[in-house]
Amino acid sequence: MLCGAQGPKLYRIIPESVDRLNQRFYRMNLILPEQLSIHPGQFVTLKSEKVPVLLPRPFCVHRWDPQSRRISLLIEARGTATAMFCDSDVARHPFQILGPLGHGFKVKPAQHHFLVGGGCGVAPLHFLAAELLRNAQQVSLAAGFRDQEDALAPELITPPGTAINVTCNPVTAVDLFREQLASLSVRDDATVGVSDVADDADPTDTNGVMVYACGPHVMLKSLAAFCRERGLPLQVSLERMMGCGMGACQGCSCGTKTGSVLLCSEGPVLDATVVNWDA
Amino acid sequence: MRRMSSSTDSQSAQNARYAQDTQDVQDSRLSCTLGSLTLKNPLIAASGTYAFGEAYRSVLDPGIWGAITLKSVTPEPRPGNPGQRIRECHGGLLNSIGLANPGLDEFEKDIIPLLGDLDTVVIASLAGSVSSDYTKLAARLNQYAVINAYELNLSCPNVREGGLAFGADPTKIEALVGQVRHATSKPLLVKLTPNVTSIADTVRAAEAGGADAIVMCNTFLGMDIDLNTGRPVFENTYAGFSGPPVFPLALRCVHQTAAATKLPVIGMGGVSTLEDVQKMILAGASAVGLGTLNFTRPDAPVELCAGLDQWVANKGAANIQDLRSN
Repeated sequence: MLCGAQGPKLYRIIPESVDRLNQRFYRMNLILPEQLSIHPGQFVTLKSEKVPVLLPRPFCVHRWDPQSRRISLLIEARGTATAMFCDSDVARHPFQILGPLGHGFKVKPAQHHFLVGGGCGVAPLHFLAAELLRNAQQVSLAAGFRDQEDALAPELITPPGTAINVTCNPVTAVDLFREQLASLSVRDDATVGVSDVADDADPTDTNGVMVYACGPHVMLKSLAAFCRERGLPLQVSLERMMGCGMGACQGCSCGTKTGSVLLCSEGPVLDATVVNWDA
Repeated sequence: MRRMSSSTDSQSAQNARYAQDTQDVQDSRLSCTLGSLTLKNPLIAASGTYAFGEAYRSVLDPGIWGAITLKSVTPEPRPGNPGQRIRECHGGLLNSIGLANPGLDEFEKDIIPLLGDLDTVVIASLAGSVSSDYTKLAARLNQYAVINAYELNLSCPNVREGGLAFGADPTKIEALVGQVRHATSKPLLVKLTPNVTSIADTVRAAEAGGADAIVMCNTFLGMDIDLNTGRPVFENTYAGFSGPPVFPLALRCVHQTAAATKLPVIGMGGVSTLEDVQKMILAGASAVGLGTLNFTRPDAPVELCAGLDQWVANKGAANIQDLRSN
């Protein structure tokens, strides 16, 4: 009695492949049985009968190709579940995949889009960059990783056409972003730094810049402080322990200035100005 | 198939439909009764794991359930507990949600109009800090035919001022159930805590107060400590533990409950496989609640219903209730 109602879908699928990207990161590819409407910043949950953990684990959608129905997830093997998900013996068996879940990034036309990612927080930024580039937008990415061995090759993080800088410290990704922003601002380009955005863009985006980020809390907090100071609109993808992923268990609440929200159903992407960064 | 009526149907039309639907349901070998309630099968979504019945609609038709128990509602809105609310631990789940709910006014305005579409028996879970909270909730919700029964949550471990304070004291249980009994004619299911020395004492108290069925059991009190800070993970210190590791404990509680009362028992606690459901029924449960399983395998009732039907057939029984121990 599976249901055809609108919303997340549940499938059991053997991964098409699990590619090892470096010492810690893997990319799992799965072919979904049907076309779905998936937006950058949305996530899915994965569970395997072969992995002895209870709760499904959430992963932001890394890549999504509607034509081939191939969904890709970036998995950092750092715990029991994530390490076993990437094991070739486990990946020969079906995974329960539930999604798409949550609300993703609000993509609006702007003069320039800055993406800031830390560690596995770079996962949704490939999908976001692809969507922006498809709409002929200018995109820069600043990515930070724990160390040189962790750092993913740029082509694994964003599609061709993105200006990308990678550092080996998630927090300094914010510094990279500031340098990117500064280099853009000092360019002899009158269209940057002035209000020249499309009609449907947020009227507060007076400098034509949009910032999107996903990564460790300390990185996001630092970035939020900088963006607030500069008046830059920032959307952040936040992380919490999740139970159901669909708003039923209420386990992933996050304090905001307007009350608590459930990150699974009302997030995971929030406007940085509403987040209680010190909570 | 049993179809629940919308809140706007006339009472006589609802009664006529109920009679026909009940007849259809009784023809099924999985049907079961809890007092005056007839369920199409013994699987019940546990309160707090199914929101207000709609959460999983895109992956599972809610009509497959024998009944859905809604998230507990309190007279006033509750934001729930601050800080971390869930943690996976030793193969189970610790939770400290804190009865987060929109309160009675919003429940009436926004939730009740949606319940008619669930196509199953709907059980409202009532919670509060003092006994008058429960009677107020029952009295206000009596008018809604879409709510088929009440579950009295006397056992939430995650609020300081209520819940467990009632649920561990047989005298208070009997008094509170008695007061709600006088406030409603809807079937009363009383959800009890396993965190007591004598299950039989609390079960008999609920029966003496006028319960129609016993729901055994709520979560087991547990805790976890953050080794980095040396402090409890949860701001409330203790949290409710559920999931597969508690199943043997819950099965024991259900067995003790069935031995202590002739009332129907809804067994729950860590049920995650067909075998677990079967064991609950063999221990004396008339119906079986699924909770944490909804988070991990939200379409599980499809497979479980098919498995139970096959089990009854293989046993040569006319109805699943014939397999229950007494």
